[in-house]
Amino acid sequence: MTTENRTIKLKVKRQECPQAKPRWEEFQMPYRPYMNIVICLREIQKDPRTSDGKQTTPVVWECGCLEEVCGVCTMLVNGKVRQACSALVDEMGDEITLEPMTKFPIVRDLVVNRSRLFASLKRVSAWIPFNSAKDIGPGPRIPPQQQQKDYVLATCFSCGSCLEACPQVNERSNFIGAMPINQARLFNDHPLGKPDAVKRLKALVDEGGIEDCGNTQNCARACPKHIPLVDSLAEMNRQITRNLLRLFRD
Amino acid sequence: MKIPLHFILKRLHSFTGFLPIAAFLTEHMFSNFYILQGPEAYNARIELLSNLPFVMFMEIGLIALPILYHAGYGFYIVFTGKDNLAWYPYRQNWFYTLQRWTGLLAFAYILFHLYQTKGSEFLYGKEVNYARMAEIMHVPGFLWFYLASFTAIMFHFANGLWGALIGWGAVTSDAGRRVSGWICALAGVTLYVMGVSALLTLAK
Repeated sequence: MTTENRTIKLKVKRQECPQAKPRWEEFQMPYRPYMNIVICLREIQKDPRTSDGKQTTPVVWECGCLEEVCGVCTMLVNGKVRQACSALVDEMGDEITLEPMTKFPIVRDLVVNRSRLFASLKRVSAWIPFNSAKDIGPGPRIPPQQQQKDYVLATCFSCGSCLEACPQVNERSNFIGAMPINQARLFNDHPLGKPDAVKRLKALVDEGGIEDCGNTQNCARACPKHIPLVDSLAEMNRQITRNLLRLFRD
Repeated sequence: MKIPLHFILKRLHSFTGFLPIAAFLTEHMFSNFYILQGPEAYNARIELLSNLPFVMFMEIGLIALPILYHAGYGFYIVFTGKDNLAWYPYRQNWFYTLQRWTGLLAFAYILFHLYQTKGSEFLYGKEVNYARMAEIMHVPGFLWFYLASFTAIMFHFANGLWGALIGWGAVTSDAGRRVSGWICALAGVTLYVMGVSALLTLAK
């Protein structure tokens, strides 16, 4: 493959601010081996000029870890949700479109506000309810089998891919998506999280909760960490079924 | 106490699907299967069913109301979804979209089927029996509509049953989903073959 004369075309959906109208801009840059989308966007930053030579503002995007563990560079690459840092140009072809995620309010260009994910984590009490300045001794032991299982659930970095790929998450529904449901499972599984287990289930049966799941299973396919999200949804459904009567109590 | 109404309505939708409606569908396909034994057997079966005690209450309470509720809430579910097959053309995503379209077709079909059977009996006094059903099936348009609707309904039934197993937490693993998927598919295909063979016998 000749690398010298290959040109990468980047079509970026741009929007100055939440109120502004979105528009498309096309950029060109020479191909470099092992390029990813972040490198392409940095290339634009150096000299923000569209394909037809017009001067423009640099494309705004977020990135943190550059190794697919922080989630902030999540965007639509050729229409599909993924992290810009792990999206290699070699897999994409020479014409690439970039769009911001559609299930979150837009901030600017490729940056969206993902705070609804944090709100969902608060809703399902995705934490261990023990906190003390005093030494309360070691926690209960967790068997290694459970550690291994829960570790996978804990690799979620709140990127929002599962919500983006979910047809049930849209402006006509309040569905919280798979991510907080998986976190509820993680903390319901933890021995110190168990005291709040029913509280989490109650949060899941409220409006926009687990019942809005449409069994598309796109979430598990879209998850960059391959978290078994369908298992998590089913497991929480099972816990709800088992605690059916408790949900109506107090 | 805060009653989780949203949750109850959705689970009721699921429940009506896999209990009264699926049970009725199964019964209906078994009854239709008598068509293969000829007009006498089928007419005797209709006679038997229509002479069950409290048959009208059973028809309304165990068949009509569950179907109406399931369809009504189903319309709401269709409204709250926004399919994205173009970007995520996965098998299960196809099933999700098909589940919605087959549901809509099934409801349209049920209304039409009801009009052709009970409706015609009530309005024009055309008794529902082997001869009447054979008369309908000899119109190619009706036969094709029935065949298409059967396909849709059996898919909706099998996929819905499979989804309900996840929705109630009966199946929580990938292997479980695979096994239960084949079982649900087998149940759907069995009822489909029974239904279609009855239709084709009528159309002969």
